[in-house]
Amino acid sequence: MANRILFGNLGGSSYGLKVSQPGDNVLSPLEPLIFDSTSVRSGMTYAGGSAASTTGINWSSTKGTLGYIPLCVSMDNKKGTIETYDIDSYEERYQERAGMHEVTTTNINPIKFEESVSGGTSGGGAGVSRTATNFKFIVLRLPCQYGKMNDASLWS
Amino acid sequence: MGNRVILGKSTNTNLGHSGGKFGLYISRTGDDITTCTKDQLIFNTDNVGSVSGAIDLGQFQIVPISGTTNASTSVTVASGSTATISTENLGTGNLLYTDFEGTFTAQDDFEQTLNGDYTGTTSGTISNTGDTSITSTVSVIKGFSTASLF
Repeated sequence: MANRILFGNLGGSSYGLKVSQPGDNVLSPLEPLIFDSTSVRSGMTYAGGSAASTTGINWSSTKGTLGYIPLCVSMDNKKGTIETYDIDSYEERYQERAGMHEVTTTNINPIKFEESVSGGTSGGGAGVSRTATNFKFIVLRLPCQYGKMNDASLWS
Repeated sequence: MGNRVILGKSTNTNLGHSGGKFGLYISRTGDDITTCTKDQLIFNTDNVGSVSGAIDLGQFQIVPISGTTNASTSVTVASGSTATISTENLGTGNLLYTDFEGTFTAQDDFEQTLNGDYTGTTSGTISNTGDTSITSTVSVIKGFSTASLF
């Protein structure tokens, strides 16, 4: 059986914990490690949730905030592309990332692009609320915010 | 070099261990595990799981596709239908995840959309919620709960 766990002296003056994948020798791994304390930040799942229908969920309500906007992953019934064509106005709209969301320091909110583009006076920007169905999400303890994705916030 | 690992009793008050708490705690490079904050941990054994006050639920992981070490698989789902993805057994409540680029067709109305469900222990279903058959790459994200908030 391969050596899987290295705990303590990792070599030289470096101390920590490394765990390799099944069948992979942690002393000379050929595959990415399952856990490596020499990495400066790992992707830890902090929170999550789901809703049959929602315009937004306060993910921090039971656990508290993180002090930054975190990276989130979500799925709902609009994950993909939506295209509409109005033959009367010769107007065609094609939107990818239709299942997008926005994240704040407290909430995850399903959003969409502005649909009202007739006349070219508005539209094109994301941020309009939408109701997502069969919505599921997880919150990762990783900053995803302007001003927080620097060495001081990510690694120090 | 800072202290990075505690296996045993921690008295780090920033982690709420003023009374002493036993476990495994690992801080980020350059952060002292005896004084670091919760966000400076890259691993801990405190209240792990879906409980109020948990620092983390667990590590972000991708569940291997059944019978392989593959991190993803390609699947084709007809409109209004579902497809089953078989996985290795890493517990229930994993999330089927996909993202893809649609295909533009001039002067047309359609939705090319998918939604993944939470899995059981060894399989889960992904649903075509649009009106067009889609072939997409699907990964399975390790889950921790199917509660409305965890």
